[in-house]
Amino acid sequence: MINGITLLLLLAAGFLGALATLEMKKGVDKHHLFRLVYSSHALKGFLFMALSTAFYLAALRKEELSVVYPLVSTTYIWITIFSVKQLGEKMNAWKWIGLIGVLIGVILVGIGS
Amino acid sequence: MRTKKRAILLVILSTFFNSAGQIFWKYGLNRIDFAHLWTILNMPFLLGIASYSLGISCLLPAFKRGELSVLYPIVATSFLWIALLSHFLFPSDTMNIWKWTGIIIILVSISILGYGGSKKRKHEEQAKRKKS
Repeated sequence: MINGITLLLLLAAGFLGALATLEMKKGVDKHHLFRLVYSSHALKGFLFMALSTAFYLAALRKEELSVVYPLVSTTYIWITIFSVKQLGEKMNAWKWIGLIGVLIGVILVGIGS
Repeated sequence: MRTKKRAILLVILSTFFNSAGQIFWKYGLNRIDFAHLWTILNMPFLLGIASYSLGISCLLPAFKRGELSVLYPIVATSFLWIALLSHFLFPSDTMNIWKWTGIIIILVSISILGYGGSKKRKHEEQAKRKKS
């Protein structure tokens, strides 16, 4: 059975990874690519990404991939929520089917690992 | 915003570098002795960081040309690259029916997502028709 701390680490890694991606997206939408280093979005993005990776690696040393993959894949759900709520993107049936399919696929790879 | 095909290809390229990075890290992590932190500067670990950086340099221009809700799930193509690369580099890592099924479902789903995201919206089409 997975212990509580590792579970929290992985859920946090998933959430921070999504936040990092959201900040990067906001950064590239607002700034020219070569001026990205001056934006606060890029700074936050890299900070979240570093934290997320640190949590992920810490959990990876303790837990099997079959547990790690499905938990980290919560990132896909967070990203979709952020895209709709914060970036005003529209979902359609194809995108929902694709998203759910990706999640199922990741869980299956996890089971097999 | 309609997601450009080029953005989708860039994300796929980025996941390739990311996966290579993870494989380098797997080699590198085994060489890190946490009592002697300088061992973090081993070659595979550094190559991993380089590969990861390349991956991010492909990801950022891709994000500029598309929707996050379409492009991000495509990052899951990394499972395919990891499976293929591990097959050649770590003979002890074996594939099984679960992993193959998962990867095939991921690839099919990504195609559906890409289709859903790059397809012209109804209102965009109507706007175009009004113009012409």
